[in-house]
Amino acid sequence: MKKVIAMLLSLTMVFGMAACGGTDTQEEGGTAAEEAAAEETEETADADSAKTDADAQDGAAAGSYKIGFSVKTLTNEPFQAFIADMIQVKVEEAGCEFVLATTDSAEDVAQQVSQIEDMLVSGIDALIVNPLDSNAIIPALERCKEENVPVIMVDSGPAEETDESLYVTYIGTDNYAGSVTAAEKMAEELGGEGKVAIVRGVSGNTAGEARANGFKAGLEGTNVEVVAEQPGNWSNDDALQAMENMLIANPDIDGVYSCSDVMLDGILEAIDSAGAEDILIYSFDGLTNGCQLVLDGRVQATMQQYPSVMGELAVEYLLQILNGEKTAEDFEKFVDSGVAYVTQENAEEALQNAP
Amino acid sequence: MSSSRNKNVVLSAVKQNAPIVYLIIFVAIGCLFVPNFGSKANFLNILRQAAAPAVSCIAMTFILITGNIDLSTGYIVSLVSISCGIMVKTLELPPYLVILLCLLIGCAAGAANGLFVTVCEIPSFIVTLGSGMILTGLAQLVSQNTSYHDLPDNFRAFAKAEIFSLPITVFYALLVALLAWIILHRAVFGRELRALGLNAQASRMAGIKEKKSVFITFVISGGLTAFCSILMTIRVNCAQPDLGGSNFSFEAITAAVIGGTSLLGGRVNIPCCVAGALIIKCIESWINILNLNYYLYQAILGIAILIALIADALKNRER
Amino acid sequence: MQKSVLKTKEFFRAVSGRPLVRTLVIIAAVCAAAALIPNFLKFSNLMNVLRQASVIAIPAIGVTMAMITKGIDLSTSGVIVFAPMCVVVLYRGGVPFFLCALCGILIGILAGLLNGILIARVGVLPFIATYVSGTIMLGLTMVIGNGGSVTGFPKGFTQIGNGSVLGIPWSNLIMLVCVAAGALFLAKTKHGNRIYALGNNEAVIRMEGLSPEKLLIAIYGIGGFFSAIAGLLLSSQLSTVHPTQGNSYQLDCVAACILGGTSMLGGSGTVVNSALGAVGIAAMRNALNLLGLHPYVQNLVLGSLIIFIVAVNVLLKRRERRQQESFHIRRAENG
Repeated sequence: MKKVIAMLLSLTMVFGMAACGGTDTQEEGGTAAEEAAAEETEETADADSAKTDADAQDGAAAGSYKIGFSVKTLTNEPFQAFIADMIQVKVEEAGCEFVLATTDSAEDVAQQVSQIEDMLVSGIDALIVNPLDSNAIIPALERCKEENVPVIMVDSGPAEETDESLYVTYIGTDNYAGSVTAAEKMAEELGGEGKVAIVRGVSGNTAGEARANGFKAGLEGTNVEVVAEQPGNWSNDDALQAMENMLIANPDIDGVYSCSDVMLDGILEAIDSAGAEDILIYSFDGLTNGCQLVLDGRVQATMQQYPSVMGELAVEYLLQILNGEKTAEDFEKFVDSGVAYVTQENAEEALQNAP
Repeated sequence: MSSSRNKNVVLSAVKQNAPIVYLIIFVAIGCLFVPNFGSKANFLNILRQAAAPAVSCIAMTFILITGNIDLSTGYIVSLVSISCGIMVKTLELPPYLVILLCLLIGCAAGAANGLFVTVCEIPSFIVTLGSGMILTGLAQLVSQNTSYHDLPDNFRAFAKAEIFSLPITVFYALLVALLAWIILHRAVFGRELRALGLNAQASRMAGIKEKKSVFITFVISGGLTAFCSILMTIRVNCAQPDLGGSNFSFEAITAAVIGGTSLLGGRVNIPCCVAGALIIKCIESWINILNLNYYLYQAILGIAILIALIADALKNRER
Repeated sequence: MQKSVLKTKEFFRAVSGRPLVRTLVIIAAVCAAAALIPNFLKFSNLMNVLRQASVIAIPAIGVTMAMITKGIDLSTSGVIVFAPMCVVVLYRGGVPFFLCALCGILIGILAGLLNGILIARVGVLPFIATYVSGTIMLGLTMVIGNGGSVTGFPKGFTQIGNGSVLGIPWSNLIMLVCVAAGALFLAKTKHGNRIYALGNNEAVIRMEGLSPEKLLIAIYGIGGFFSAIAGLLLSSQLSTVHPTQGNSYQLDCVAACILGGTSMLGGSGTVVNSALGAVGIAAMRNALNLLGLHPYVQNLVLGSLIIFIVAVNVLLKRRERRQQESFHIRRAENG
């Protein structure tokens, strides 16, 4: 019996010690500067009186705030990591503290909500969020509103009937418009007629849905027909399988639209093993691997997003609100962070900016 | 007289190898009703798609024989995949060394599972649920948020070559199946395993070292899963820390159970296991080709395994 | 002389049973957490933890009962998505909400009964039967919602998951009511005692003239009932039904029971302890969040913790059994 008590207490102690060292070993937010800032801001970390405290503390210079970023998993998500890195850089430049919360899978909506709740408890002054699910995030946004914590959404936007007072603005790519452009370009290349397939993302993801719908809309009025669309679930494995099977059903496809660069490897493999040729491949995201493939000529085009712009603008706007320079009403509800059409000509340059 | 006996022999052979019969039926239905299903390209496709799952199904079979289960195989795949990427691209190790090390990682993971199941006597589903979490955590830790694209050709040659215009992965799967069959039906170890599954107490009294045997099955399964991961990684040409995942073990279990492996232990039929893997890939390809709601796949798999489980349990009652 | 030593050993074991040790460990862990993590002891945080724990604790009631009978219930994650999905789809179809909610709970009960029949009548092993049924329900949920989330609950509904009365969230109150009901049922009623009998000595039930199979089916039905309630609660917290919302609960509920002292070998465990275990799991996730540790660290810690606790549990049981055997042998020898 005694042995058990000793074992369990020492586990608790080990856990405690690990917790102590935890903030040091953290990847995304563990710099010495942050720890110093953390010590300062711990005292002022009371969400309810955040604004007044900060205003009282400093005069002209920006106050030392705690800004949180809640995003899905960063595993295998260079795009999200890009946004997170940019936010961190901008936040720390302004002398504030950066807190990152990522979920452990690309799907755990409940976890994102509890992480935001926990961040509120730890006293963040403002929140940037890339919601896993635009509906499920609403209660978390409502809680932020109760605590007067301004929220900016990036990359994935609010659901259709979301109360506009819950967020300051949504900064993101106009996935729909970008895909319309991609579709128009592909239709042009195909001479106005042909058959294409779409490899979608995870169903229900607003960005993915917008891209697929935008692409289909862009093809309207041409004789280019979408003969198949299956979800690739943002995974090479699933995309490979889907593409292989779509090629069986439609061996004479002329073009493929991938809703993200992350699925390109699988799609290319499928096309290779089927021995299919002359298939135009268009994609979205403009990641390093995507731009490289465009440069190599294996993929014809990708729509590059500007995740760094999203992060930069989000931090800038939030600081303006926290410093009292502007209020939430001063911002448009949607800020387009822009999208660029990347082809072989400008791929080299795009590669420089690619996540 | 002898014709009725011949008929009995044939009937019992059919009953024993029911999954193979189901596979033939599935393929027939597919050829008739699903467009382009009967084409040469499609057959090649299905073989290519089923190669790695067949290996993982056989790996799972080893564990199921002794009445255990392994829910962590999907995460072993993740860890091995990203380790593979690091070894090939960052450390630039020669291919054979990479493959060897990856197999070792798989065996180590399997050994850890086996240890907890045998020495600590914890039910295998709890051990593997827990170890799965640990393995996925490790995979994410090791990956540092990157995945590795465009693997070098000399490494990819391991699974990309073709023999008689069939992908080499198909031959790997057949080789694994043959080895598994030899071990399970011709070697003493295999017979001991099956005896353990059927009646653990009697086997123990007969002197079969239960713990050592179960431990070895977990190591074998881990190694085979690592091999499967290498095949999958090369197939998608991307080493990523989220390959496999939670559905992976479910697919392997489904293929094994549809292939006649009993969850209560003891009964196994390797050719039928391979048939099981082929069946589930046929179903998946139908859904893709017919452009159906992709999510039907999981529901159908679940119902299929449920039917197989019920059949298995009822058969067991008759024992 | 020997007899009195044995008597004091028995007495000590009876008084300082494992629940006491566990309480001490929890207190120690809470103190450590409070000391190392800022904001952990804030009232709003504690209420949050309890709110997050409620979705773990409620299905854990059913899982506890299943584990007492040497079984397990891994279908909680399936019911937690399937029941609310049916509710919201029916509601969007124009059915009055009260009926929809009733349907949702009925679906949970039916799923549980199906589990029970598979386990008791057909003879499928509990863990695979419930694992598969959970997966089927998840698959059906994804088919209905086409893989995405479905929203459309009535406005007042989300207040249940997110609102509070006198500062205490409704979720916590609902959890208290369910846990109290479950605990009373298990500990005080005749049926509840029979559940323990099922785990310890099945013959007793047959002697009473009852059918152990029917009781087992009922147990899983109860499990489905509570899982459905938890699913509705979670959806009201999220104001939507997302097909992956239940994923972590499959393991979390089992972990909660194990943490609460329910033995994997059956025969013991209480609802209250499992609920405390649920609070422990939620608190641990909360602590790790507040510390800003990566989620994969959460996975590493939780996975290791589960294996560790079960290992300790099993080893202790083995030692206890061996001690009991030697005690009986010694007693027999002493005449």
